[in-house]
Amino acid sequence: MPLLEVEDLRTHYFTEAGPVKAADGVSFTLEKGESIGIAGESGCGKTTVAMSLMRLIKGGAVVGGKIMLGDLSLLDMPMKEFLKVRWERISLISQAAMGALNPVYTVGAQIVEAIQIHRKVSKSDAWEQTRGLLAQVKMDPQRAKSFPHELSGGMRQRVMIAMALACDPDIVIADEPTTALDVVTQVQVLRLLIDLQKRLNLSLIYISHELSVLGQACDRIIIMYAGKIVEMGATTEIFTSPQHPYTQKLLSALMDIHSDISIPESIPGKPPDLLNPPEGCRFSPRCTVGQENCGEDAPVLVEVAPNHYVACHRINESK
Amino acid sequence: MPGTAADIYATAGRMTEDERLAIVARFGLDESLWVQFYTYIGRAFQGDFGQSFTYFPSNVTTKILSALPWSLFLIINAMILQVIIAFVLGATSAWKAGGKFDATTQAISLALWATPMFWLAMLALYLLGNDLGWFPLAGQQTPGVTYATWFNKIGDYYYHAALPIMVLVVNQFGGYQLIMRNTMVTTLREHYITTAEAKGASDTRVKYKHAARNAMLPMVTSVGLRFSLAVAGSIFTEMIFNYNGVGRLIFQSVGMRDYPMLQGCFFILSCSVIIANLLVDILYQYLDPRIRY
Amino acid sequence: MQDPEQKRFSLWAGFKQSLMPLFAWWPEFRKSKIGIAGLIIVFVIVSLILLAPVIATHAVDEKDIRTGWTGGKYWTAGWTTQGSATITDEGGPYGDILIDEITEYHVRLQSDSTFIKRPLDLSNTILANAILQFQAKADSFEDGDEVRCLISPNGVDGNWTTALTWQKGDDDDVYQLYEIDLSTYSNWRSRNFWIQFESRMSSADASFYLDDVGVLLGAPGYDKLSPNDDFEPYAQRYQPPSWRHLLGTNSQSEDVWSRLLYAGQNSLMIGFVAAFLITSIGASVGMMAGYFGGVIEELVMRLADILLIMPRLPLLIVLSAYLRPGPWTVIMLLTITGWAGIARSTRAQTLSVKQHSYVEAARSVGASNIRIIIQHVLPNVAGIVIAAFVMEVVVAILVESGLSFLGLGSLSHPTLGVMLHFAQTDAAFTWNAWWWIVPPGLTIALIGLGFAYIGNTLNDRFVLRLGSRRKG
Repeated sequence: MPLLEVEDLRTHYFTEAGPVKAADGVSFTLEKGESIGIAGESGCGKTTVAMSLMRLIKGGAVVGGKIMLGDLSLLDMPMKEFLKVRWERISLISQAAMGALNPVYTVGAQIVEAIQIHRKVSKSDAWEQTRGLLAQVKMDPQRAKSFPHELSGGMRQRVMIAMALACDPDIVIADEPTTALDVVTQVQVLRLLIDLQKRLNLSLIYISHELSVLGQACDRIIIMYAGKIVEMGATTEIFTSPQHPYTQKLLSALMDIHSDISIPESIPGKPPDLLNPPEGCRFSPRCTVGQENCGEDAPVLVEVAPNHYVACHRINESK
Repeated sequence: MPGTAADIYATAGRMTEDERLAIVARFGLDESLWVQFYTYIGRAFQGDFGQSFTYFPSNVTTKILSALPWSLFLIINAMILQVIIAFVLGATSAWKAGGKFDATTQAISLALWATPMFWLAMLALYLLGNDLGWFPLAGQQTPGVTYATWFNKIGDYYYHAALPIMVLVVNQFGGYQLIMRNTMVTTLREHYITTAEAKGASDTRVKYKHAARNAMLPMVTSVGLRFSLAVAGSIFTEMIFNYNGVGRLIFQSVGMRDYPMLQGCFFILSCSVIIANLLVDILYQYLDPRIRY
Repeated sequence: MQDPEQKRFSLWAGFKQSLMPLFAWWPEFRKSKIGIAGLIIVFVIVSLILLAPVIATHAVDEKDIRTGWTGGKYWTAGWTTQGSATITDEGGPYGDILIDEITEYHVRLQSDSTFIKRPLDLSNTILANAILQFQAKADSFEDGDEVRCLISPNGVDGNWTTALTWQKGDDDDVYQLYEIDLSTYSNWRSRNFWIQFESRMSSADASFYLDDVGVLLGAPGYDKLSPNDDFEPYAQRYQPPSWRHLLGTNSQSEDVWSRLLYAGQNSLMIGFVAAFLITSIGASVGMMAGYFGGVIEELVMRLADILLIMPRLPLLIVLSAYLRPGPWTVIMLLTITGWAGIARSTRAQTLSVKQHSYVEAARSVGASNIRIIIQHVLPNVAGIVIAAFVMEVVVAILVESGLSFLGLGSLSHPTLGVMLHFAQTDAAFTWNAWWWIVPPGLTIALIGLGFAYIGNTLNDRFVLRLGSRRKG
């Protein structure tokens, strides 16, 4: 049995113009110790999926689907119960550079708070544990007494990672953890994260718009487009034999320093308006290889190779 | 309110011309205006604002200094209450911004803010003091009482200050509440709020420990600026509740055209506003680690 | 692509464009219930006030004095409130007394629970003579007990002078009549007399009742009216609301409803003009300072900082104590002390606009300063300025009413604050004349909250652009 099972997740944001279907029938599973990456353009719903797992959707709601964490049905739990799932079972690493740490408390105090919400430990024990966590992310434990503004972006991100590990969670969601950092720091933080994931056998959901990062960090990759999963498979599969036209475009947009073509190809058109998504396949207006029925029926995910799923009419028909 | 002070005193009692001239000379009113001004400024910086016309021969400084603690007692108590009320109400109404509670609190606090304070004070005095008899009608302490304990003394002070403080609070908390609420609305969109929620913190913890704790900073800064509004409010409350503070002194001095007293009061009030701002700046350093030195 | 002709800058077109947000505000504004409520309240009150000449039932200064005026004798105040004495020590009305220790008692007259220290406003009387007359019931006096009547011609804590001292005599009536000729106090016509009674009594349970206190006004030579006579006041003072007087009458027998409407006009006028001057001066200063910078900016903004930190009301009080009161004095004072806040916020906004790339771009293609200000700066500060103007109307009306309440307002154009000033000095509450006190205050509050609701909505929607946060 997989550790986490997401089935037909539908999350809508409510606006005056109508509901925005930010996640529209998303299904995937996550095994213990597996790391999975979710990629896509901004606004494709990848963060919405993560926030739905934590039940942190603001200005909207999960309107359908099922999220099973082992035997627990996360969406059906009363909020009071669910508070115990947060951080204890699923924790979140968000962009520390973008103010994910509270500016008026020391970073140590914030980690201690996470521990003390879930564990009945004395203050001094919690601080001791906090220093241990900071050492684990290769920080000077003395920095526990620092305020966020006294730390560099990379350090803050490390604090965020340490905090996410505070309660030994089953699943860690990393939402663009390296995005706002400079390249060198990015690499350091990424390495640290990969290392910790392996060492602690964490289940990781890594959200990023950078496929290259996911390629390094994840066992499997999910490609999302306009609230739907368009392709899902093992990292090597996705990189070596992408099937969906959108995945292919994304990959070719990655600059390959070994290839001769130095100008990355861009995807024509704009991401669709999720208030009124296009009929049928949502990528069809931008797709260069589409057929007639693309604009009518929505394609479903089909297994094209073992554990490699694609939602595209062209593939389905050729099968 | 024109007229020179000497004229008013000359007509107040029946005064001979000689007496009038004596008074003019006594207060130095026969000097040229510039000389009077320089003398005044020079002395003011030594804490000497001259002698009061009405309370002659007491000098202005002693008179004000004996009234000042009473005003500060009112103002400081009122401001603390205002900030506490605004903190809770502002945080709660922003928590569900656009909701019923939010709309109601905003409507009520704006309405109270737009109500003239002296009128509120008159109504409070009449209804709560006079009709219901819950509060004393005047003064700042029960006269002629020797207090058995220190506790009784403070109790009596608060009993007399209750109505003035209440009027000040009711009329002025809205300003803070608005600042608190608006900052809180933006604070709730911060990433660290999501982090706190993700950590499994309860709503109360997220609301107060994380959001309100940050959102209160602009409100605290505004305490310094709004101190002068509280000073203005105390003039009305002290006047109507016959509370012997600086505000009542100002009111009486206006009627008597006691210019030295008026100027002295204004000077001292300005100083206390500046000191209040300094204190707020110092306090702010403890509340916001980002500007600690 | 773009017609070069179109690029020609026209001042009016720029101005119109900068005011576009004004025309587009309604769809957003109407979503706010509070904002709509504010609009309705303001509309109703402003129309009532503007219709004053039509709906006022009396002329402003028309005194309702019934026929039967017999030539200058009537009880003005007719203080029929019974005073009952409580024995106190010298410290004040509430002290406890140890009877053994004190042999003399000071009795202060109290009505209900306050001192009879009443103002007696004679400023509007046309008569040449005034007699304060009262009768004291002194049946529990003992011979030799002394009672004094003190008069302060100038406010509560002014110089109290003993106007009359009397001792109980053997042959005193139970209700002994006493008189004080107020005209012996020079220039009495311009005075507010305050009156207080004090007595020393030899017995602890002595009580002292004052049955009637009144003032007889009359020209010299007329007979004084005895309080025992059956007199009917001619003037319709303190009449409760009726069809004749919708909101009753005040101490001067004037119709409160009509006065309220005209006072409302004056309040609104002062509030609007002051707010307009404050916002236009503040905004211009702020925009200029923010846009041009330099030494002048430094000076002006330091001045603004000083003004902002100074307690405004005390400053206004000090200033107006030196000046002749009048509507324009008040407006001028409000403007001088009020522009700083808006100057500061417009300056901040101008500074941030100035840094935008489109302003840089406009400047690099040689747009004039005026053009940049009108096309780029003005549209960006318009929201702040308009919201601030609406709020400033409230503040101006409130501050003006406060000043007037303290007696520093313009008597030639009485505002709502002036009404309340007279209600307070004529002790309307002791007459239970709520109709003279509640309506003016309520009118200020309603005007204020109407504008405040509008201003707050404008501020929310167009300045702060706060959305709402719903919990998922």
